[in-house]
Amino acid sequence: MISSTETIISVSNLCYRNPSSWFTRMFRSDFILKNITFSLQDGESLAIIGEEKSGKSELISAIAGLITPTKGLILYNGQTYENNRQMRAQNFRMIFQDQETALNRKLRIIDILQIPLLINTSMTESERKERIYDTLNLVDLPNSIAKRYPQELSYGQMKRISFARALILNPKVILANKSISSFDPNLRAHICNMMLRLQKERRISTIITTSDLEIARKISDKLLVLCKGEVVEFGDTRKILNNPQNEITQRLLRNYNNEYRYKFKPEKE
Amino acid sequence: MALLDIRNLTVKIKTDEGIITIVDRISLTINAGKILALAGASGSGKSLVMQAIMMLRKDNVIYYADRFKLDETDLLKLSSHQRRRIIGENTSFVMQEPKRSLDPSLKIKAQLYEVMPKIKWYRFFTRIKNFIKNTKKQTAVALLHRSGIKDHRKIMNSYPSQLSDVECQKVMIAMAVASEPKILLLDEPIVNLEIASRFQVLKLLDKYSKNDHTAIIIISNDIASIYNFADEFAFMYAGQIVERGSRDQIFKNPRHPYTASLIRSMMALSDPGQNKKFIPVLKGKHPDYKHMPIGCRFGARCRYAKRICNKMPDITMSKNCQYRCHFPLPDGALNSDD
Repeated sequence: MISSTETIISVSNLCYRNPSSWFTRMFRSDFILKNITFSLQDGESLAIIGEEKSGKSELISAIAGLITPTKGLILYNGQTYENNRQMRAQNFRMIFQDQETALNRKLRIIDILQIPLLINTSMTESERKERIYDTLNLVDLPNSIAKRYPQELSYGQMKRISFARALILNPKVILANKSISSFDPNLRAHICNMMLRLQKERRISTIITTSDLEIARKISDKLLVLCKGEVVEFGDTRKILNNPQNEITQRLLRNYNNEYRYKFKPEKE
Repeated sequence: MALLDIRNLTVKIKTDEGIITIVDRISLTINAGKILALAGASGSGKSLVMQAIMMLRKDNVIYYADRFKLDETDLLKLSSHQRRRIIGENTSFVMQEPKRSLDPSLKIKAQLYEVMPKIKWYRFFTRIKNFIKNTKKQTAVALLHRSGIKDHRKIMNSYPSQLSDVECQKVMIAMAVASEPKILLLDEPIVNLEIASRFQVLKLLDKYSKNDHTAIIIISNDIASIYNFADEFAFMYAGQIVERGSRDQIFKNPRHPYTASLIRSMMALSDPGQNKKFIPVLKGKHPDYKHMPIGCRFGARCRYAKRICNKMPDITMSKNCQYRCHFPLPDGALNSDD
């Protein structure tokens, strides 16, 4: 029986350094990620924040399986997925930062969404179409969009298509690398709402890297603060943001709530 | 007297399917030492306004304007060559994505020397003095120091690919400021930067506008980050400025429904009390430029739309804001939930 407190991802002693020649390795052995250990329960969502060059993108691509870690283990439901490509492709889906280059301009939307199904499943054509239309419904897009090309869509619609491509295989984990910044507040709120709905209705864990702490506060349960490749703080998002213990987290918060930023004042009526 | 005065700027683009109007009758004025922020949905023509001011695009773009004055010089009466020279001397433009706009095959040193203003040929005494004292390098180092780079020796001798995003952005600002412009135009300078670096870039720009009285026009979608930075805000929708005014007026009592929806989303996102709750958002999508709706362009998404909205609303001027709407929201409409 699956209980609600089952560990879905556990990362232990993860290390990563850039692949380099033995010569450079002799003189400097600077790891990008050093001894990262954390675990996520089923249905929880994570936000990774940190300063510049702290290894956020490397950590999220290591979890997605895009880069091979030098040392350490990433366990999904208690088993590794390094050699199990099928399982990795079905359960870990990545959403990339730039929505324009993420989609192939020569394919129609229906073909873009079909490719993961053709590779990973053995569905008939009608089943595939049904799945595609269900997924388009889930991300608030009309069915008529399936016949169009990516360059005919707006930015928000492109982003939603990349969400749909991530969701089409019913994954357990969605990874998004800096994908909500660079939008106007309306679109940001819309994508936040969509992520929240996925978490609540489908129990999908979302792992995001972001530099907007308000988005991290809005859509994540756990927060991971990185500094120079090491975990500085890990725990409940609200606890950390309301009461930061570490010096680096305090500095991040101070820089974020700077003098130019809008500060929310609750209405007294 | 306004430093830059533009009235009814229109930008049209020639495509295979005919001529499309993208920027439709925009008026902008800015004084020295002030900061104007342009905000709005992506694809509403913000970047095109900046490119029109700089006259960057030549082929397949048509510009119209009723008035285009820069510091009491009427630019519309000049030939295009003279116009470009005056604009080039007085304004600077920092484009999107600093890493892409620097030349990847040249060192930062060479690129900085290139933009520094040249000494006129008849001032040969100054030239000889500069040659002996090696002033070129000193000015370049001073520029980098002013834009917040301390480790100038490393930066000068490196290629753009070796630098981070913030360092590239600071170098770009240093290059823009080298000719001491009166107007600085910035296209999304803080997007995709890390938390601490956004603050650094904004602080740097604030310093320039206060000390040198440079007028700054900044494009940013992230209105929460530049809330206290800009003096004036202008919101664009579908190629028109729908509302424009001072910060206090707009964020307290917005008149246009689109501005109100943006501010509501911004407030809901930055509210620390409501975690993991759905945010009320605006429905519908931005209209296509090929098939613009007749009348008010926001009409299809507006909840207050009525029969009169078939006609294009005129700009209504009030004390410290101007808006384009038939049914402006009353005072305090932002806090009443409907």
